[in-house]
Amino acid sequence: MAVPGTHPEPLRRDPAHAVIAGVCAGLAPRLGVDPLVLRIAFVAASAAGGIGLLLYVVCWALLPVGEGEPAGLLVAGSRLPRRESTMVAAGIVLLLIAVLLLLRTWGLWLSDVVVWPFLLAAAGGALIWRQSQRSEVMETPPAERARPGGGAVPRRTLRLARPSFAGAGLGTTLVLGGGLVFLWLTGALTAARDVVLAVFVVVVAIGVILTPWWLRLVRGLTEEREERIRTQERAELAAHLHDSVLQTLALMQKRADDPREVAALARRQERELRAWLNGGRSGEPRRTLAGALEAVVAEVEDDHGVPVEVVAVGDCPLDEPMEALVAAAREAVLNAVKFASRAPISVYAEVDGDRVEVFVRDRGPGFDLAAVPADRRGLRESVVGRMDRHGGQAHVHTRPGAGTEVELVLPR
Amino acid sequence: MKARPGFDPGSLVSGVIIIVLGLLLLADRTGIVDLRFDYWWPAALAAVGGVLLACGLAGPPSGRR
Repeated sequence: MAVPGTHPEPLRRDPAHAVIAGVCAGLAPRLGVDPLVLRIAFVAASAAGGIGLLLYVVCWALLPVGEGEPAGLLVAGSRLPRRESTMVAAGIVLLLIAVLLLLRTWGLWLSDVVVWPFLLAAAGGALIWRQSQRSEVMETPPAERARPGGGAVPRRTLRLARPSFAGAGLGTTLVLGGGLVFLWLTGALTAARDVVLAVFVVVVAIGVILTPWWLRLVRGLTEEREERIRTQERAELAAHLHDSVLQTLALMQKRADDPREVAALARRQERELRAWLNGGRSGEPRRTLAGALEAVVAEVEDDHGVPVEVVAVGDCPLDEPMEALVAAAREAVLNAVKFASRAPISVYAEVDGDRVEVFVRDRGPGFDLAAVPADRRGLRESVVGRMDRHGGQAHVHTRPGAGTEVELVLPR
Repeated sequence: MKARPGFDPGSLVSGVIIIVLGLLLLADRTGIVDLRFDYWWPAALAAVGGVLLACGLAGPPSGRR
């Protein structure tokens, strides 16, 4: 049966990933399961009357050789999602058990003592073997290398992936279970029953005695860990306040005779604190419109010592047209600083679904737009012309005595 | 096989298997066939296995990523 909407691939053997002739490796990708499941099925069916062996020979004879495409893995390599692969594998296992029970009923059977333990041990051993093949060579993460003592050279360590532990544990349980079933069926466990019972009672008694102590220990470790985290957070907060706010306050005391310098220091500190409270980190490269606007406004504030308010509603990535928009806004802010430095200046940005608007406002003296000389290219080229070239628009709303508003609009 | 909207091959196979099981039970009950207990375990396991296999091979339902 094919997955709806896809063309089934022809059945082929896969000698490139073969254990014997590549029958299971070839069939597994088509079924969307691990070749291991099919191998166990063939081995188990072979142990029960030799039908599996016969089927394998028939498949070997009938299936053409594939072109060596990679064999499917249970999850990563299969063409089915994990959930569906698990369902197919479980279905095959149940069908296999049904066939074995039928063969047992018909008498095509070696012995319960042989087949069931062998089946369990084979499944467990195969699982363990596959998990050992999945061991990964992991490199030291870059973040760890960046820490003091982390080392600049990547450190390579061999470790099992997390799901491998569950698989290996299941495989070990199956192998041990197969051994126990064999011992039980052959009667060897009867002699050891008294010893096993005694050990079980002792283990239960020890568990009852040690459980309260163990729970107290776990609770104490949890509380200690939480207290350590709180202490680290307090230390980090204190260090940040010392490096930023206290240092700035000390500088402001030294420059108390220069109001512009004091105002600039206060503005810079305010920006840093706001960024910190919002979860941002000052000094990082800005990659969004809001970040870029804040960066250019901060730059203008630092250069000219004039406070500028920035409000951004929404945000978007900073591509080339957005960079032009930011550059135009910067020019508008610079104009406002030059001609209205004593009046409040604000930048308001709003990102909609289909367009971005930026308003640069000041409550300065304003001017007559028609009276601007032709050789003054700042507003005309750096703002209006730049927006035109990138598919946007710029409008200047001003008149003498009424302040100035530069409206920048850019479709997304 | 081109999938029709709302057509689920896994559900179809599951339904067919359950119908066959029901018919077998009916035939046993009416005396048409005499099924022994030894055959019921394999039949039940094969039915569940067949349903799982069909649903798994049918792939995820449309719309699920």
